[in-house]
Amino acid sequence: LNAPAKPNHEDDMKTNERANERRAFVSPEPGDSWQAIATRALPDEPVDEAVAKLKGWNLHLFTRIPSGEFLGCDVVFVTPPQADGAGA
Amino acid sequence: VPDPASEPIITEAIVAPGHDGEAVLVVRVRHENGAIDSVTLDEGRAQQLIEACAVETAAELRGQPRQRLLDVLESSTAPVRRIGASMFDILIRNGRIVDGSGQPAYAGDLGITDGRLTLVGGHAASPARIEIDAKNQVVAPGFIDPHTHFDAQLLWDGQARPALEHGVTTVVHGNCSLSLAPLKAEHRPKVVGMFQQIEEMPDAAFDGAFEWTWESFEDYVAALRGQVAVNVAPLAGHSPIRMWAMGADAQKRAATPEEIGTMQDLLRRCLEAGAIGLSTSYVDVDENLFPVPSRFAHYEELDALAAVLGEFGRMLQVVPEFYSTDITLARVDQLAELSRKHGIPTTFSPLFDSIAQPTNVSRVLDRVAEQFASGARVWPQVQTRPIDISFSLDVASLFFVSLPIWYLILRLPRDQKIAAFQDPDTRKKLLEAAEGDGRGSRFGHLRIRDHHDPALNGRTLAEVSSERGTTPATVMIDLSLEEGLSIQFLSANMGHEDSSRIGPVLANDLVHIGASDAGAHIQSFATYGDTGYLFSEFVRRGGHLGLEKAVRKITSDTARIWGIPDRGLLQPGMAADVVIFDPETIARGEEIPTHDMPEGGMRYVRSASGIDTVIVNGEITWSREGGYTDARPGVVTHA
Repeated sequence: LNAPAKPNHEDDMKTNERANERRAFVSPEPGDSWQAIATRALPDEPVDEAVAKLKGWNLHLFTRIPSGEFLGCDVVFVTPPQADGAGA
Repeated sequence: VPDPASEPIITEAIVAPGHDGEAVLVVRVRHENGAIDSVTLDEGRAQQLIEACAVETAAELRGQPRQRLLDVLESSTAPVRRIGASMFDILIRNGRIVDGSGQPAYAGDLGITDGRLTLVGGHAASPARIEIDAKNQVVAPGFIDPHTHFDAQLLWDGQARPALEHGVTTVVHGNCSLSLAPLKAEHRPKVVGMFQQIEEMPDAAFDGAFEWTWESFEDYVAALRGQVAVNVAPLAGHSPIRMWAMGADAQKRAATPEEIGTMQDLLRRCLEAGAIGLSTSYVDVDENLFPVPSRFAHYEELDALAAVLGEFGRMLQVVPEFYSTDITLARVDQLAELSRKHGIPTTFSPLFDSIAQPTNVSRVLDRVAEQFASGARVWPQVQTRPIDISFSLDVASLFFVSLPIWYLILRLPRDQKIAAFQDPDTRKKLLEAAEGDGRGSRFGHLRIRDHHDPALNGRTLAEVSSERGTTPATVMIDLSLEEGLSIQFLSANMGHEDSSRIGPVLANDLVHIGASDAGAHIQSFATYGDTGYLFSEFVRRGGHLGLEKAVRKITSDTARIWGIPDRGLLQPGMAADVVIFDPETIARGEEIPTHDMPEGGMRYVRSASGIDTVIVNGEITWSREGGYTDARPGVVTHA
């Protein structure tokens, strides 16, 4: 709601191959839980740690109602946002 | 003394059959050096030459100066294309024809007979019931708006005011998973609630403004038929389809295979009845701020519905999580997969430029280009206008969605709302929410509009609060109470406002100009005139698009993307949707509040500048001199 500032990113509109690397995601299946997705998506990690990672990478699922629960259409990222901050 | 034998003249003119069965005129010319060659004229140009030489027959052209022939050829750079008619219903003379193809403009006439274009280019000799002099004006195909929410408005205002006077002759409605059909009677209150929440449509737009005569899509189309001045291309909404198949469970769970089958059958019937496609949403909420039914659909459900779209080659429209580039990219990939698998076009809207995500547009367009290269059709819709929001404290504007206490109070009945703003304890909580988070006032940049004291209009709340020794939020509440909550506040340029960034995006051939949201958000901003703004801001001022390309982007491109037959081009045989406008003045007017909704409800509108005449299916529906007409020539494009 604050008054917007003028953008000053001259290169914003240019192609950035690195910024467009694919970020892996899954669509939840009926009845899915965080644990179930963590087990499928990050099978080599302890489930609790994998769930914590997934939740941290999917904050958008906690900013809406129902918070933290899956809707059928959701995008659930199974990789972190890009380190250079290009993701949003 | 010049030698008559060396003067370049027409030596012979012979009427001959053309390759397509029409007559042509073969004109032989002798040049200065005595050489003879010939040129073949179509019927229109032949008539021009006869008129230019002031003769009555082709035979009398013999001996006429070659220059007359050259003058005729130079006056029209495109071939005259004509079919049939001996008398036109409407003849538009002397226009600058921009035919929607993107090809260079050319001078000529446009003839209309029985709702169809029968002459494009050249100069007509035939009579006409109505003649329009379009000197110094552009004659173009009617504009097509691919993202509107005129679902309800068309039932009491078949002219879709004021979109029509901006040159819009075809509208796509039923976007964002929301449509009024197919819709069981018991689900009407729920869907109306969604329209009110998502599109800010007031109660009066539904209660008593029209008679609900349908449940099926076929009957909804029947209710529109004969009532509309614009052509309509309605989408079927995923949310009401889901409600039809699942009832209240549509907002609770995944669909069973049987329920998905029911939805497929229902969608198929919608498409057979004239739906241009299916709309769905990943972001919208209902009147209780709970996700709309379409958001509970798993990918398998959408895939099954896309398969039905594939049977008809129709469009899938979605609203992605536009606030996140990463999620939008994921949606582009999903849409591309559906597009390739089922052979369907897809489109998503909106795609914004904003300071919050400065690389958003470039990243998304890169991904879109990649998917097009792989054979998918994923069209991003980009709007032309900056994001401005106006509001009063009389309605619950989306401006306040991130301030829950404000939003809750604004949703109260009017008397309770006024009491809350006057209550010291409530005021304190409101002010703390708006100004007590250490980020300074959220309201200081807002500009006052429509106050009875003109000296206040245009000033910011920061300026006024500084003079009064108080805070912007306090001034907002006080002025609102003084004015009976009718005073408006403008938050301008909240994003998408830098034309140097937006112009090249609009010119991108993979960008679909749209996302106007016309007919929605009526109490927050005017959703009309985006087409005028395209010409004033990005053709005339910025030069990002040429005139012909700008016309193409909102006519034939839109028709091609959506598979709308017979429209978007000025060619003989096409439907006669035509807009005549002055390329030097076409623009959107100022945003103004008006009270022309049912029961006197308020909305923001913009009038049109530079538009002269709007013709739909061969009938004049609006003109600068006469305003709106009684004609209702609009059709359902796919019915």
